[in-house]
Amino acid sequence: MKKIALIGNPNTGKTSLFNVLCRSRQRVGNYPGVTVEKKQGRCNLPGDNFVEIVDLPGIYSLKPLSLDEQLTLDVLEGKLSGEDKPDALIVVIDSTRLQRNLFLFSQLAEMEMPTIVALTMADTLDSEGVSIDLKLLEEKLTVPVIPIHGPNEKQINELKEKLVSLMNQPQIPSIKVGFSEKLEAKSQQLIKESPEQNMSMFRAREILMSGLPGAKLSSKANELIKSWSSEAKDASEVPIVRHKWAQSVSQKVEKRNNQKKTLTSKIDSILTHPVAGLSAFFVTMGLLFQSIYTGAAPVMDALDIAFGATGDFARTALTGLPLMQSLVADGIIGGVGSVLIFLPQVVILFFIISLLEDSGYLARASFLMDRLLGWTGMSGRSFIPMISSFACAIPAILSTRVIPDARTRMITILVTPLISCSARLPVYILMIGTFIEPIYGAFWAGISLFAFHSLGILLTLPMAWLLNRGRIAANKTPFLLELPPYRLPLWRNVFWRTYEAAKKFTLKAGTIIFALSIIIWALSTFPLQENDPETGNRSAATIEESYLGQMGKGIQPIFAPLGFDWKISIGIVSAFPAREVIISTLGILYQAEDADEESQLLRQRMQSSKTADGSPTFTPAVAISLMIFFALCSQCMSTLAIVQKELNHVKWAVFLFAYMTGLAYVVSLVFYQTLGQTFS
Amino acid sequence: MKDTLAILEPQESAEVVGFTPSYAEQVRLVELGLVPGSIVKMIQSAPLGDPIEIEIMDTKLCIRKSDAESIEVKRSP
Repeated sequence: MKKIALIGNPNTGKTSLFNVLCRSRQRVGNYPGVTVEKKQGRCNLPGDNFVEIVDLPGIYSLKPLSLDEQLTLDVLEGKLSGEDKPDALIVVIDSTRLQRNLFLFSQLAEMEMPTIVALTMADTLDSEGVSIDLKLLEEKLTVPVIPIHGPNEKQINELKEKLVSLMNQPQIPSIKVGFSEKLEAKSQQLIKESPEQNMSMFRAREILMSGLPGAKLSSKANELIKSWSSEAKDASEVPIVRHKWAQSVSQKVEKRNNQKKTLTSKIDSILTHPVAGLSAFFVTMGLLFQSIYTGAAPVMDALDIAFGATGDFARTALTGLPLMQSLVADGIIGGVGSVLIFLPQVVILFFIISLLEDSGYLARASFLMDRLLGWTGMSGRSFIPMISSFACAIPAILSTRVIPDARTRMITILVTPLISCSARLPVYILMIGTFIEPIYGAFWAGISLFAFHSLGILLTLPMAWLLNRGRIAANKTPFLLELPPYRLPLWRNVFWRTYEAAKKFTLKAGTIIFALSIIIWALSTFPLQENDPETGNRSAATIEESYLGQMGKGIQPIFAPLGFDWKISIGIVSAFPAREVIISTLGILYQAEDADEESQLLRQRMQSSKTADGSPTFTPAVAISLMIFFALCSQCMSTLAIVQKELNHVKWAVFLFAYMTGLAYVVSLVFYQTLGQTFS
Repeated sequence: MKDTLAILEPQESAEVVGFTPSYAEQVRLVELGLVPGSIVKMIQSAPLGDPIEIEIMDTKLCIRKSDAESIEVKRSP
């Protein structure tokens, strides 16, 4: 079985091609030791053959300035341990951007691997006013060129057939880019003098001209490099020569009608316009936000009912085994269910974002937002994950993969959990409805809701800036973003991406939550107590006696300065794995069965609850203090699990937990001890 | 004072002539097509003036003003 690498510029339709070639036989994972995503799949070929295709990251140049490029170069040279060198290349070239795409091709040709070119976007040539002489292009590139008109079956089969013949009769490109004789001779010499096996001309030239980092060289090789650098040389010679070659090929091969002002330019004159563009942007974001909340609601309710029913069924099925019954119904189904309930939101979010991304709009949104975010060390591309975080931080963190710069991505991942996700909403509604609205009225209730949502997002900017100053320094590479032409999204891509996100969410978060639900359940059940003889349910007294309850009481002194009593402290502790749990815990503690945020009984009980000395446990100040704590505290095991996975080290999850919880504590404390006193 | 990409007006095109301070920092821009002799067009700027949208080699890119300042151009009279 052979392995073929798919490689090309970003926005060339490479991913679509991969999806079509590999259909559903794809695997997504990570390269060993690197946080770059690895996509591999099996492609069936005519004649009962098959071949493995690996989809390498979209890059503009092999010159390793970023993680993606470093990885790609390593894979192509067979230098990544644990990863076989590919046997052949399919170079994806956007037919409407021939000249620029040929730059990368000229570099890839120097890898001296069997190559085929897939010329994509061939169906848009007409609308862009371009025509290409295919035969001449094949001649110039010295390898087979297959045009691809969108997802056309016939052409895909033609590509596959060519792949089969490529395996039998490999064609290695033999283009002459036109570097100076001196440079070529010196590069050949360097290759001879290097202990490295199979150094390509590309790498040799890069070492000579720009001192490629990380090259292990012999002393002879180092001397060679020194002698070269003492001669006056202009490091820009290499890309200039490549561009000249690319230009000479494209000028001969294509005919352009530059009079056509493309549809993209017309649309962009509105969408990137400072005023019209911003307005359109806010409308789009508003719609995104809105559809996540309202679109998901009916499905979430249905899931809620389904989980409730499953829980009831389990309870009935396990009567007579009270412990097992509680474990399955309350612990497992209750715990896991509270997370899976967010699946509809994840699906809707990824669906819409995929649409926005594939159509090309996301790049424009990043362009508009870059100034606002740039000063903190994040970039325009961080904005979409931040917006998504209003629904749920988990898919938001997953969507940071569009950020190519590793440091920017890390900062974005570490600050988005500050944004008020939908899990905090039930708590806000409960607290505001119980303690703000009755006293201050509906207007202030509305303002408070808005204020708490804003709290998180307002803190992300200075927090990101701070992280930038500290251990995480910003990268110096220029912010470069391509604005691809507007295109109709390909449904296959959109559905595939949504499915992948949903699967990831369910599996990864689900496994951690599953484990933790059992633990939390155990802590709140043991040591075993007698259930309330009247209702047969676990009473507040039994929760108080359990380990979890004891923990809550033990921790209470820590939370006292924030205005929380022992019941609230228990609630907070129980909510650390998943925020919404606090509602159920409070419900049990205040003896309201099946409490959710609309429960009147719970509200009344909380309002009338008194401490030992007769003063109310809940004043508006306490309520606000609790909401502040809730807004900022890290209380989501699933988020921590995803952060640990995406940033490849448990220390980041720990850091996230520590700084958020610390921040929550401090802000809540400051509020309660100062402004809070005026509310009492 | 040399003219740079940063001072072009919306919809104005110019020829790239060089880099300041040096090529090394702008490697990626060069590889994307901003080589001496190529024609770059400034399309428009984002709200607040930064970043700007440019067109080079039939590709639309956004770059920050600070990076645009390192690309020298020759404006048409």
